[in-house]
Amino acid sequence: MKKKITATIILTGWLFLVTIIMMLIVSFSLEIFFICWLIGIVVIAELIDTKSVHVGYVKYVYLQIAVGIVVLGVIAIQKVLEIFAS
Amino acid sequence: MTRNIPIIAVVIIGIVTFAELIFFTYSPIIYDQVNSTAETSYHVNTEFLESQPINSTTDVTPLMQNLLDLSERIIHDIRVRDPERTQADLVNYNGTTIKLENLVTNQNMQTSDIGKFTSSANTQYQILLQLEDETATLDTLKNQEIRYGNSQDPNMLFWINNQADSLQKSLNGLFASYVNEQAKIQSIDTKLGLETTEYNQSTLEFQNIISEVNSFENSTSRSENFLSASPTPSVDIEPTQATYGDTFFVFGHVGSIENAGGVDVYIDKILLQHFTPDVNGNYIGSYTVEKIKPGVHEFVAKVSGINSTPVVLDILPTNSTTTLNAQIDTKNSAVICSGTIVTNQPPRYVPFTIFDGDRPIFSGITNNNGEFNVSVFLPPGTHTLSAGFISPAYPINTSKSNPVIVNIPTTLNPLVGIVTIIASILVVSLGGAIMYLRQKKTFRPAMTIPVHTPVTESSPDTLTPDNIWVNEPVFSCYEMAQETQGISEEAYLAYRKLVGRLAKHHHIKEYLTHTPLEIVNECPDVKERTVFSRFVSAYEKIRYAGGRSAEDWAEFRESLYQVDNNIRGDHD
Repeated sequence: MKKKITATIILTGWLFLVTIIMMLIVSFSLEIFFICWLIGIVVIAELIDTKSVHVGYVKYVYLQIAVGIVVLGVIAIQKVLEIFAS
Repeated sequence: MTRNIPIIAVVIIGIVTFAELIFFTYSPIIYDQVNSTAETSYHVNTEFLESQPINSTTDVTPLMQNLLDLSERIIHDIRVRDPERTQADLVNYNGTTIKLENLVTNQNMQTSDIGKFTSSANTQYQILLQLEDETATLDTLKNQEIRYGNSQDPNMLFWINNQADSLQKSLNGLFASYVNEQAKIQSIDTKLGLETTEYNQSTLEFQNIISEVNSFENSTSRSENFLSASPTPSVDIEPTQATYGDTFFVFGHVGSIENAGGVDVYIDKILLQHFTPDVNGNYIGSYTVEKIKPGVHEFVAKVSGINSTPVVLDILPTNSTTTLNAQIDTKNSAVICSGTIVTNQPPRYVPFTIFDGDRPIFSGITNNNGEFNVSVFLPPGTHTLSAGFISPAYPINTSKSNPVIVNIPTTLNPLVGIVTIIASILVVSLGGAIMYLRQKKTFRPAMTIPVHTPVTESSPDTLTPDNIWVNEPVFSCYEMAQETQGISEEAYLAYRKLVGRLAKHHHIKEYLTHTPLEIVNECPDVKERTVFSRFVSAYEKIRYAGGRSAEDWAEFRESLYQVDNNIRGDHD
């Protein structure tokens, strides 16, 4: 099975697991869901990466992770503002 | 079809996952908050229970368990209209929960006999309070009667007797109401067998008071006073001395002047109030000493231009004490100043001033208890604060609190801090993203791979290591290089050419920095890797091991030829 397919299945399964856990604790947070996605995709990107040979689609995975880091910063800013507001 | 199975599985999992999210979009709790009253495991959720009307002991129990840690009193309202259910609830509750020492049970008894009993008792209590006030006033009138009886002032005796008459009528009415409420209590007492001895005793005491009041009425010869009323208006004050907070009465009689539209009472030649007398020509008003300067004030009543004999009220100044408590409010960068101004009675809405040293920094008005609580904004540094009451308009002497020293720390503007934190997070996240991409070399410029491009012929003398391999097969280039370069350099140039071709073919981006052995390991094609590995061995023997023998030359040439042939079909 190609790495691309394997990575997609694993990432989807991870998000499915996160969703189930959130349902069990009767608390769904979009921010936590996003952070779990970011953690999952970073782990997968590190595992499928090779030292010298770069597959073309990995470049786009890196770009997604970079955008995710920026969004993570925005979430952190939002939380800081909530703390100051309270 | 077999290849698509993983993709189909991923799509199904994704659809199921997002379908589950719909539940959270609709409501964070899976069951219906409004209509669901069934006993489910979710009913242990106290937040849900607190958000809906409680209608069974099953629902109350977890709530009560949740309240066990409370130190406050717990009020448990019971519906008296459903006694059977109430009894069942209490039995169930008592059997399943820990005994609560502070449980208070209220019963709704508004329509019951107990409710009527309580209502009548409260009414009697209010009547007794009114009795207390009116008998005190009647005592004052008795003293006034003695005072003016001695001075033979017919106007004031006339007024006093009229007031006493009104009070006596009022007291008799109160007694009738009291007896009426007592009859209700007595009927409930008979019905329920309650103990009401104290209520009966109070009725007898009330009757004694009324008898005493009526005897006062009989002792006065009011008719004589009526006939002796003076034609001029009169005014008087009781008491004649007062301090802050005291109440004094202004009263009098308009006299026998006909067509009088009323009486104007002046204080220090300033109109105090216009009175409309009653049918007997009496008027009365009460005032509380508040904002009036200390000293003697003259009161005069005027009817149709005729002045009464002036009377004076002496307002005596009273001492005051001011206290101050200052606390720094770090959240709002302010100082909370609270304190009180104390006199013989709580001063209402009097002015106060807060000083920083001797400089006034805030002025305000106290509440109706003489208390103040304000926030004062001060610059960073040490401040000596004090509060004071300074106002000549009140009969209260000036006072000032003890100084309170506060030290305002230098604080940053919270907005600056927030903006700094936000900017820092933004910079860190953007920097982190860029660092991540740089680490992964996603932005690295594309490697320049040597390509075969037709070029014009050039003489061997102009060939350089940079352009020598541009348009020729490797083996022919090697032949040319052998004529112009040393054998080691020839081997290197041949290696560079072949590695560039392999890197282009297999996307080996870092071929310039990798060792030949690393290039061999990264070559995915087995056949090419075998041939290239042999070439690398021969190349390194010449390049690094000083191989110059004929066998070395032969092996290098042969391996070069094989590699060149093997990857010749590839175009750069």
